[in-house]
Amino acid sequence: MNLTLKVWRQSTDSDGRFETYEAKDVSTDASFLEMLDVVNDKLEGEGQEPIVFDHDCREGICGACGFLVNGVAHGPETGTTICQTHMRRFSDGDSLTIEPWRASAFPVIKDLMVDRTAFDKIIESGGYVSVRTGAAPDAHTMPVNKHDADDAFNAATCIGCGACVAACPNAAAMLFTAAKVSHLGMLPQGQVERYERVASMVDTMEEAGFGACSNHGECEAVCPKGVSLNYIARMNRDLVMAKLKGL
Amino acid sequence: MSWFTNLYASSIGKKLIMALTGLIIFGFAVGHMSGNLLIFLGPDVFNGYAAALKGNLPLLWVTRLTLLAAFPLHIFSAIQLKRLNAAARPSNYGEWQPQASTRSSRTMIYGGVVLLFFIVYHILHFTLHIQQPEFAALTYNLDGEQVHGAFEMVLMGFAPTGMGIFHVVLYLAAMVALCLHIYHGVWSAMQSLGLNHPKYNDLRKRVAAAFAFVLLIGFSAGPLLTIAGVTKAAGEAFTKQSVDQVDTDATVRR
Amino acid sequence: MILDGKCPTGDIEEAWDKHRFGIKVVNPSNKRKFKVIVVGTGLAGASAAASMAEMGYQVETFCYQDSPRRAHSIAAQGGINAAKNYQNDGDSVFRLFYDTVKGGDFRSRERNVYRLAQVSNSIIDQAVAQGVPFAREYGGLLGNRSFGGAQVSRTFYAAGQTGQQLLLGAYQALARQIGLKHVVHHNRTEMQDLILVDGQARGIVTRNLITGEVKSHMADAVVLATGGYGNVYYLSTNAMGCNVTAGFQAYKRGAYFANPCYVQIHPTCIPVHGEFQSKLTLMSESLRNDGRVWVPRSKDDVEKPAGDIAEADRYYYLEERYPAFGNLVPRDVAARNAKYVCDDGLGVGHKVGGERRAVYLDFADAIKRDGEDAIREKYGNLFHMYSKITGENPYKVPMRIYPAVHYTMGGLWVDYNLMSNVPGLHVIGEANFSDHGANRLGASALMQGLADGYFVLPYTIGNFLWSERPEPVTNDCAEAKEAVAQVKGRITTLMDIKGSKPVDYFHRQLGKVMYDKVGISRTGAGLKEALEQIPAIREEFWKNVSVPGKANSLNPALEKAGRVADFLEFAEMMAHDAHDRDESAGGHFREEHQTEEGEAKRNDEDFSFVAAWEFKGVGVKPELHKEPLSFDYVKLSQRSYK
Repeated sequence: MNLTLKVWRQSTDSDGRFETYEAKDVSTDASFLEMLDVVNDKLEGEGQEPIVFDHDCREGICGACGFLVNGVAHGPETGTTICQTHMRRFSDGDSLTIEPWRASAFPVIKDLMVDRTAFDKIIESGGYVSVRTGAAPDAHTMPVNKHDADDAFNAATCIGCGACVAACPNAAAMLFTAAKVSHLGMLPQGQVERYERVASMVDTMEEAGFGACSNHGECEAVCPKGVSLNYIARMNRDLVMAKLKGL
Repeated sequence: MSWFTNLYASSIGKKLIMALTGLIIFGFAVGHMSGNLLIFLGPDVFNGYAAALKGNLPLLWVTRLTLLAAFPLHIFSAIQLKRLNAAARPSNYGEWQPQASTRSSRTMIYGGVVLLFFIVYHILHFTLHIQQPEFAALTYNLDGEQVHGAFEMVLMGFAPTGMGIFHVVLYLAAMVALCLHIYHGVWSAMQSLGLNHPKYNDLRKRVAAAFAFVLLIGFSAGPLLTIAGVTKAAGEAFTKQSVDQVDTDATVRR
Repeated sequence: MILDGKCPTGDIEEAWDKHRFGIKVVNPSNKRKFKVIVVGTGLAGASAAASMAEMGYQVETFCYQDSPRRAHSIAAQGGINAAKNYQNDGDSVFRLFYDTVKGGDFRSRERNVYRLAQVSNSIIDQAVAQGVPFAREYGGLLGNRSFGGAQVSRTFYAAGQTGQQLLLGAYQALARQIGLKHVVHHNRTEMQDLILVDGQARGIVTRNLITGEVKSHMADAVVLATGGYGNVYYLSTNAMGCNVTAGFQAYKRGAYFANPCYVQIHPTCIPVHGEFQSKLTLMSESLRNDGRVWVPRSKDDVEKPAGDIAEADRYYYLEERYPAFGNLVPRDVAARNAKYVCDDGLGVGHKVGGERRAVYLDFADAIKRDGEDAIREKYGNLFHMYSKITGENPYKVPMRIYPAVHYTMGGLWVDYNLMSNVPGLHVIGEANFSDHGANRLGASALMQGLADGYFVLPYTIGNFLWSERPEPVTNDCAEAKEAVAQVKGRITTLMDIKGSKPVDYFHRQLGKVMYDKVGISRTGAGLKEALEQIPAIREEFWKNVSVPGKANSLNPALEKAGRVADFLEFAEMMAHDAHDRDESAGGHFREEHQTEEGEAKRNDEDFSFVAAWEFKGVGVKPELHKEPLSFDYVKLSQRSYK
């Protein structure tokens, strides 16, 4: 199949613009990133700089890849990352607009690559259980209700790709933060620091320049792991409790 | 109160205030709509209701003061959140396809502005009688007591004249905006307040939709049926019926 | 030279405890005086960095990804072993030890493996305390499954995302230390060279992948946790960025590289479907519990749709060749046989590079027997993944599978303290060679990475630091400047070639040679050919590679070029190792050495040693050092699957 790509090109020192490329003879079995590899091979062959994008595992779990395809984070396929989207999802002659995550907390590094260290900062500020190596009791001293364990696991499946921020009209990181707050907050191990954690992580999230939640639900819709909006409501509750405790 | 300022400092706190004040205003709107519907029971009932409301000074002022606090807070938080959100997403996408948000959720701020202007107009119109000063002089004899002719005022406000048609169109447009605002607002408020439970989560959006629809119908009924002449006819019918009822009672007594 | 792993002697059950008591301990106030560099922040690196920072050391960490949370440990699906015996099926530390030594085909160090089994339980405790959401039973206790043919249920898991959850646990522990400023972390920074001062590993040279800045970082000890070298095959289940550069540069600076020929090939991966293919995707081998593996009996049928091939014309080669185990033969046997039938021209599926390399994995009988719902219940997520990638419905047509490189058991040589022969250079996780021998058991990779990082290295590194008490060094020392200059020189050379072929062209060529000659099945003659082909590709690379862009800015082509340049040298050492190990063992199968049943046949008399290679120059055969292996607790035996 043949495609027309409108790709955002930007280097650190410029404002960026869309450039148009033709992708010819694309195999329908290729993944989206493999399609870009082929385009890049051609660009490199012509002495032009390849389109830069983040990627690593290419099996939908590391969370490195991600950009918008035709206005949708991670492209048209729901419940998956762009690296696991295959070209058979598109039709011959399609025109595709490819654009990086846009958020002031995620500055563009180059082309489709953005800086997501703000996510790391949020985790660093409290997204953990403070247990030093070797200080753990036997794993069975604390049984966990299966429902709670499963719910915590569902929150913990977040891959930190940033699609939630990208899709949110407010560039909010609520879903990302709420997923970690909920994962740890629903487990007995996470109870001791439950309220300190939420207060500190929300503070860091806002200092990083992410927006507020308007409950649009865009984040949940594009999340490759289907992390639920309900965790945001849960985080809101925990934050109010934290503030009532003066944290 | 430091915990409160602390909470308000975060966007989640601001959303919480949005939700609480929104729900207060929403509650008032439901009450207001219910009261409005009394108009179809005729001038006796409607004017009596209006007089009772005005006569109950504690209720009147508690409501007014609550609303006077809720509105600015709601608006102030909205502005602050809007600015925060605009800063978080300084440049827009060349192309963006909504996946889950609704027209209702995406137009909250615009709908809010429309409603703000509408409410100001509405107060000038029916409370302060600026546009049609003749409203102030309307009186009604309710069982020998002179009360304000609220029923007549509504009939005049939505009369089939140029001014009346303008008002009907304006009010209906505002009610559509209200409906959209309420649909996302009520659901969103539950989410912001952390009111969620796996069992009832699906219900939340349906409840919000039901409220939005009821408010749209309930509020639109007044202007729409008034200009169509139904309110007047219903009022007369009720008045006649109650007179008949009195007569019948008299007959029985006799 | 005969190498000594410096294992403690005496009763194996007390060896680790006694050793820990015997080695030097750094007192708390002195720990903060020492600085340790950790390269790589996957399971091993993140857990080690976090643990050492908690103890009080100054730690500096580096990863090439944009966050430590993205290390490829995250992709491990299956689970993690531990000898908890929670299922009351008779598991014990000794049984886990025994299974691991046997699974490694008697090419690992007994005492290392025993220690691994010992600390396995603490890993589970640690992970649970961190909030890792392992699968649980209704009573609230942890669930286990039997994995990779183990006879006990000792595998802990979190759905199919165990690696992700364990990595996030270690990442969170590391993030906490970064937040507390006990660790200084560098994202998007790749190690390019090791700096030795007075023969000790005292620093590294890195390239900042965003700015292109090349600089040195100095410390009192260096820890490499840089993963495996599976990408030497170009296509593997590894992440795109996985590479051997850190370990290989350490090797070029004098560290020995051990057993590079031990590579694990996973039999059930989604086959290659085009020249553009960038990576292979693994599917759990549990699929073989219900799927039947076959190819057409006749070459004339390979292009026909599977459904058009009559039952009598289907060759269920595993069932015919191994009647007792059938489709459940071990990973390496299944992988080898798939290669053989495809070599015979019976492979099916897409023709890539003129050949078809795939076999059918057919669920039709299982669906007929148990119903589609039962199969969906068991394998729904795998079938979904398969259909998403291939566009085919495996409920209707058979899956196509082919083996792919998955894990590398070889790595830098380390002693019992996880220190290489270069003083101060410690190596942990997949990057070292120590615990898996010639083959790795399922669910043991996560265990080893975390054992090294949480419970071994943080103690043993103290022995080096306190016995050596290294003198302070700075970035201005001659050794650091020399290393920086060397790295810059190599980058300039790469940029200046201005050839006509993209980096991937050479990487693909190398991968093909490696799969054909140093892959699933090897022969002395084939390895000799590889030893001629690899240098030829390397020579062509240095003449004709095209690296566009600039050296001093973000340049993915330059990153790849550096990695492939190292793979091109590394591959040759691998081929030497595979050639000189004139026996079959675990993942290393030499066709000349097999039993009548086609099983790997070890030669314990001559090859019961660790092969550690010393760099002698590019294109020069490295020098072999042997570390003899003895087995006092697990009796040497030959496996059979007939």
